[in-house]
Amino acid sequence: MNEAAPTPAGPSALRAALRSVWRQLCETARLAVGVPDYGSYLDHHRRRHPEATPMSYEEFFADRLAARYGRGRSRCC
Amino acid sequence: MKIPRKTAFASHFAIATKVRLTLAANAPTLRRVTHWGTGSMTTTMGNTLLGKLGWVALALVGAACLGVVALSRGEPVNAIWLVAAAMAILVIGYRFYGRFIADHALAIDPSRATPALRRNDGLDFVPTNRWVLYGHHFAAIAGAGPLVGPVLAAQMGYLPGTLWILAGVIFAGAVQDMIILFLSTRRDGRSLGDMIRAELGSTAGTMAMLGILAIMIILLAVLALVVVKALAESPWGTFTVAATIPIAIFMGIYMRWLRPGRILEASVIGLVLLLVSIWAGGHVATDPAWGPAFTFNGRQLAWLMIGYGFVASVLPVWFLLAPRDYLSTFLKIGTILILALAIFLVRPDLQMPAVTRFIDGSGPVWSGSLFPFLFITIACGAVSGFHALISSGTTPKMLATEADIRLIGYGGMLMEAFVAIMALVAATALQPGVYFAMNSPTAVLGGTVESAAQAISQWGFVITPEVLSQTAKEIGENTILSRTGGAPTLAVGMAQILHNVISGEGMMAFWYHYAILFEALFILTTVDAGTRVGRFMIQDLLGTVHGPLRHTESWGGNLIATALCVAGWGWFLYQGVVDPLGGINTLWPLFGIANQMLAALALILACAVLIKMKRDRYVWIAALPTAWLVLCTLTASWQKLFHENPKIGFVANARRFADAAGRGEILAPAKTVADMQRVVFNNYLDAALCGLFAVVVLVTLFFGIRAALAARRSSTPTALETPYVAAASVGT
Repeated sequence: MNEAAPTPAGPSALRAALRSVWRQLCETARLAVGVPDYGSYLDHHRRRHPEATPMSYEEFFADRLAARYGRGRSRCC
Repeated sequence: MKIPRKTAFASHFAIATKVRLTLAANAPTLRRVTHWGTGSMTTTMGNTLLGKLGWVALALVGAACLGVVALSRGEPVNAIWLVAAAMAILVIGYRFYGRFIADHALAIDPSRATPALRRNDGLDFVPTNRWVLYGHHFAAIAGAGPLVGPVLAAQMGYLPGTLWILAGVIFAGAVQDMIILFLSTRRDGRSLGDMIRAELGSTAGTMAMLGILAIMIILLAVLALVVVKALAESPWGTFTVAATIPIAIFMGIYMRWLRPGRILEASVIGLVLLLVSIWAGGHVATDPAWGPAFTFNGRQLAWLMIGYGFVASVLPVWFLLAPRDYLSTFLKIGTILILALAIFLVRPDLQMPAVTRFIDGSGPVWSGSLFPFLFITIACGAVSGFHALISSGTTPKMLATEADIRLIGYGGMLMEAFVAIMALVAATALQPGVYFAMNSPTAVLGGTVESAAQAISQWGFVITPEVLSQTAKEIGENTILSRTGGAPTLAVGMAQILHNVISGEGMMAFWYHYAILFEALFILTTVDAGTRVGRFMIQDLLGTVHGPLRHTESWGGNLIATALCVAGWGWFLYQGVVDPLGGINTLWPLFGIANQMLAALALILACAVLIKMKRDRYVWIAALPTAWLVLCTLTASWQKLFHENPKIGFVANARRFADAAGRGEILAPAKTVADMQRVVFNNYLDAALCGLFAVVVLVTLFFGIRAALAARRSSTPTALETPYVAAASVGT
């Protein structure tokens, strides 16, 4: 999770909190249309496959697009 | 027209405020309970004295609100009572029943690694924050169903629909969603069909596949019919919906070539263009040259939809399908939030009586008595088999811990029930006369506002022709008569509520067309995407006959399967458009039966697996809704087949036309003997489909019982879960 680091109280703390909420909203919106968090993908890639080059965001996006519609996804009524 | 507020009774508002305060006071409790998840029973607020008192207070408030809704007679009730009662009941259901199932029946185990942890690949299997995943899951399950069903059910009054939505979601719908999510999470995110095949045997699996394909075809037909009914003879609506095609293509090109992968940017641009197209639509509709160019009748629109569905599902997805999907997903969530906010701000009175005389089955919107037809008319919102497909789709692959299953499975469905309640409020806040004018077929109303007002007033819902023509004028349409299908009714209801928040010259018409666009947009997305899903299913089936047809990249297999899928739903769509009873009367019950049939299959699986897990003590949790759904679908199928009233029974209607043709008579809407024969054939086809649904339920029930009996004979658990892996051992 993108937990904001503890910061001193005051406007900067508020700003950090708002930024973290905004980031989470964006992440939710992207996932709602089938694109998971790119940062998590990079993290995972760095830890598990350090020798290989990860996909660029553009490639990642195209890959997720194909995965979402490739086999046809059940849609709800 | 203005929605009257109940200003005379200041106490209404005072108590409504108190309700909100009580809910707010309980909010910290809820947050802590959900934050700590299901494992730590002893430490939660629910078990401290203060916490218990809070829950008792909430229960009392909910009961009081429901009492007001249920017991007041004669004068209109404010919608806030209904909404507050629903919220209290849903929250209590989540806290107590949902938690009981999670902790005891399923014995959810947060120490067990989820598929996302074990198979983390950063792509499909990703441990995801619970609230982010909640948003994803809700966006996937919420569609047109919970908006349309309650609007249609409003002909019986607001009370039957409300009670069924609340009881249905707590004891059936949310239970189904959560158990299927749980089962799929314990099986590496496998699909419903796969799980039925593995746990109940391959025959049951094949029957389930057949059932899923049939429901897909009927779903697409009925949703396309809703759009056709909303756009017929409406140049404004047709223009704005048509404009979404070039807008989506522009977004597709933008995200592919101009700024690759920038979803939010493209969606904001798309949204602005949509709003511009609504504004432009008003000018197009009044233009002497363009107005007629965008005016189509139902048959023309049906053909356009069929052609569009074929092309859109064959084109590359990035070009039209994906960008439209993004736009409709965001618009859907945004509009639901706006509607909720507006209902709280406006607090409209419910004009419809609590219970109307049409519970006897003689209603003009759809025929059939309260039992079983109310319970299949409102499917989504109370219990929807389709959710079993979503709960066994992408969501189980992204759960970070089993502790989130209750929030996402049970809680996600509760939110959908809340959407259904809001749709019911929007429909019942309308004058009943306007509601029935919009939802009754032309055959009952006659063609003019005078004949319609007379017919509706005779039913006891007094309305004047002037109100009918004035309402049409306000929303920028030529007429509101027989705009069946639910979408226009919801749009008028939403427009009247939103107009109280943002009013002004012409704003009512803007809001109406905004609401129509919002519904049409996500229905069309479902039609494209659903046609693709149907195509893949058909290619799979064809592949068993002729192998090469299975290859999804081959154009031959693609085009043949797409054409078959489009022909399937197109057939039912066209039949619905020419139906003298308005089409919805025929297709919506078929869709409802199909959806509840799928829910019955999912719950039969749930029962069987609970027994296989040696959790027989708790099997009633799934058996109760299973029994109810089997009873409803079988009774409804039986009545749709054999009821002597031709408005209800397909066979009776087929006989009526066949007999008339035998005597040489022509019955409307048929114009020739060939038309008559087609009506006869269509009714027999509908009857066969109903019979198929009943057979699928019975066969699955048989295999479910057989699997359960076999499991009872075994002394050890026989459920096919993936082996236990400790979450602590895999890290994140």
